[in-house]
Amino acid sequence: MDRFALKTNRLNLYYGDFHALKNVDFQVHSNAITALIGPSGCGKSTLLRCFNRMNDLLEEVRIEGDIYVHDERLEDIDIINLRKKVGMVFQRPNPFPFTVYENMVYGLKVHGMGHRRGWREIVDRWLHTPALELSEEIKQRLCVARLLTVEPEIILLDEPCSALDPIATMRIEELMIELKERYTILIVTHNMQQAARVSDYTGFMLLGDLVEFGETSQIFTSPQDERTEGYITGRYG
Amino acid sequence: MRINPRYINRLVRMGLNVQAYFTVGILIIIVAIIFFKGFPHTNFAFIFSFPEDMGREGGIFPSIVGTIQLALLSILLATPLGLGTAIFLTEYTKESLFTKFIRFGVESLAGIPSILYGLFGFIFFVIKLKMGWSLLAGVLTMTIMILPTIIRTSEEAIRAVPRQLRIVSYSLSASKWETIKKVVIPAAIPGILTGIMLSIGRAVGETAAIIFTMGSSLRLPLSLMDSGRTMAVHFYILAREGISMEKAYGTAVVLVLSILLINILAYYIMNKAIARYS
Repeated sequence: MDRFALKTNRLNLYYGDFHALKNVDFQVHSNAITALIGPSGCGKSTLLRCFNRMNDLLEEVRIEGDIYVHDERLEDIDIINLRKKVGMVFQRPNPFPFTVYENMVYGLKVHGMGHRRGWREIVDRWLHTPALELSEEIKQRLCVARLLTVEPEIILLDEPCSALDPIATMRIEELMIELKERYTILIVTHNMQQAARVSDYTGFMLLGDLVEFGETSQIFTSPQDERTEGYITGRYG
Repeated sequence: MRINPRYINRLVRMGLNVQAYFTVGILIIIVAIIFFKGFPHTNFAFIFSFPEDMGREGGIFPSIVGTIQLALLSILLATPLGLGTAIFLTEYTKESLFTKFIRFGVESLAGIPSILYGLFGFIFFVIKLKMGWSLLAGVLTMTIMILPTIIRTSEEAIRAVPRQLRIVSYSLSASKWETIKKVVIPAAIPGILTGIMLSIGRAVGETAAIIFTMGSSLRLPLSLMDSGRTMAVHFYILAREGISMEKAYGTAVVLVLSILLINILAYYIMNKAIARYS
């Protein structure tokens, strides 16, 4: 398998006049967890959303530079296939207001995968409860599960634990480490300890720049850039 | 002099109470009068037999059938049309002069008195398109009349579906139409149903527009080109022309009961939809 599941090359992104990503060269290693940290508004979520083209939904977004998914240029991949391959879990748990079952089979329906009878075997009878009645943690797990039914290769997590309590956060982190065996994971997080706990690689962003990127242990113990050091030691952020 | 806020509070509370009871009271009085005067004349035979002697004797079966036909057919026509318009306005256009114009048109349409719809239907459908007084002309006129309600309520319901749900659906690689079909519409169903139910109420209760377009034949309408009358029209003619006040009140009882039934059914369907989708 190729070394990098995701890669950017001199990536620039503008929201209207605002220069949100500045010459970002970034890689995500296959079958590893890569974390993006940095203060609010530094562009980490924006960078994450580039990989499944969710920024396309916003108006007045302009993107320059190259993005690769498994060494394939992003522009060359059909958007439907791209989003099937690169799944995303959002900051707030966001199940559809249907039953758990209907949430689970949504992706399968959209992709015309399998049959109604097969779905039944996938999801059990107890799943016929309204999804919005679940706890926040289970909702977020449901959102992950909803994603996994269509067998993505890469999973983008946009602050998946920011709406959860510490215990639930811990369990989602355990889930991430389990998922690492089969999937490539890129996570944006506000929580530096989380990045230190779960990720193999970490990128630190500030005001649209990818300041530093490296193995998590190196970033957190001997950062090369003094801005990184300032952030992880809590001098700002 | 300053009045103790506690007294003002008590006064306001009393005032609001009186207002609420007054509103409900009027409703109860109206329904009570209708039932008091009409119930003795309402029975199984009245509902299922044909009128005789212009409605002076016999029952109201054809007008019940006419009412159901009119309401059902106009809903079947107006719902896809109105829902389509609402989807177009909310999902496929940006807010612009054009959408403002459409919305303004829809709102104006909602404000037109029903007698004008009747007149239009009479001139256009009955005379110009040579439909004559017919169920078809009545249904088409009614469709135009209830469209604004369906469009507005559907639009509100669709707009209330969180944007986040659409974004998630896209992130799961659904296309725009799939997202609308499988996420937006199901999530908006309760609101859309409200509009449909309001419209049924309007179709069942309408007289002016119906007399002009569907006519007032006492026969059972068996085809789209047959004239017929709804319960509301039947009531109007019986009372207005002094044919039979007893039969008029009897008709009113059936009318009120059927509207009640529709509302109960609407709540039932809506609760089912809400339980499923929220």
